[in-house]
Amino acid sequence: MMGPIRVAVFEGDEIFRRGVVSCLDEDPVLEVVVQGAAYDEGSIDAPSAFDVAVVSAAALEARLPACPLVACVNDNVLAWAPTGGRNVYAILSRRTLAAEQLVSAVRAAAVGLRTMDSQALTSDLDHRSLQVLRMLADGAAVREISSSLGWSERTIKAVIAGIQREFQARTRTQAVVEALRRQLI
Amino acid sequence: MVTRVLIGEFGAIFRAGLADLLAEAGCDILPDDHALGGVLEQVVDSQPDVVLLDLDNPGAEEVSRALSKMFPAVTVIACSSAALQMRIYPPFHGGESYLSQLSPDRLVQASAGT
Repeated sequence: MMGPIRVAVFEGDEIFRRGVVSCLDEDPVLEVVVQGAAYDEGSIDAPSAFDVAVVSAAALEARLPACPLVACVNDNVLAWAPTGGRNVYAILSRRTLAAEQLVSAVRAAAVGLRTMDSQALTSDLDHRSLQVLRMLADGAAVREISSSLGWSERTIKAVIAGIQREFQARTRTQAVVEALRRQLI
Repeated sequence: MVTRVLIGEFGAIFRAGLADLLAEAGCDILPDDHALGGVLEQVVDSQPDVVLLDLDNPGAEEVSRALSKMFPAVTVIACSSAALQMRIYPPFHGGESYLSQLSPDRLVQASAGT
């Protein structure tokens, strides 16, 4: 990497923003060049003034610079924060994020790599729930899932009920759709 | 006299922000020594003037109240990064508390008493 990576930080919570800036400043390659509560096009000289922006979930809803973005979000939106078609290269948990993870995600974004929080990948669903969801999505009935995975039908039904609770889904179809929407399967 | 602040368990980034803010305001941030065990042991060992706790942790209010009663001279401040609120247990008030908006200025005022 030639020269420092210039980073902008747009975050409404000033205490969290200070934390982000102090963590990034520890890294010799990263240089925080702009910071504020929100991105304001008018106040920034050129669109290429920074290479990566670290933003909050609220900032994701707003107008954003075209550079790679690293978003720090609350856990309740970790699995489904809006990334489609956007230049969001990482979605990270504000609560569990470590300084090294933030630095790594920003450095990765600067060279065009996307970072995934492992919590966002699994949500609160375990491996077994994901297996069942995948089979439901393929149109399998409870009996087929039971014989394929080697668990009783009763167990499969309990797993499905757990998934529906997790997603607050009224039907199995809704649970499958939700899992697809969250890109869990 | 420099205010000595012990910061309990928080998310790492928010914790770094708290430490940065209070250090800039002239407070002495005590090292977070997990080897000593929980926050109670750390308070006994480092005798801070102010203890910051995460209000978003389950049971935080009970712990704060208990600390405030056990160490009457200590100001306990439980901060919620999710709700941007803080519950302040002033010294010598027997565990009584009040809720306030969490902003950098208010936190510095409550901690350093400036």
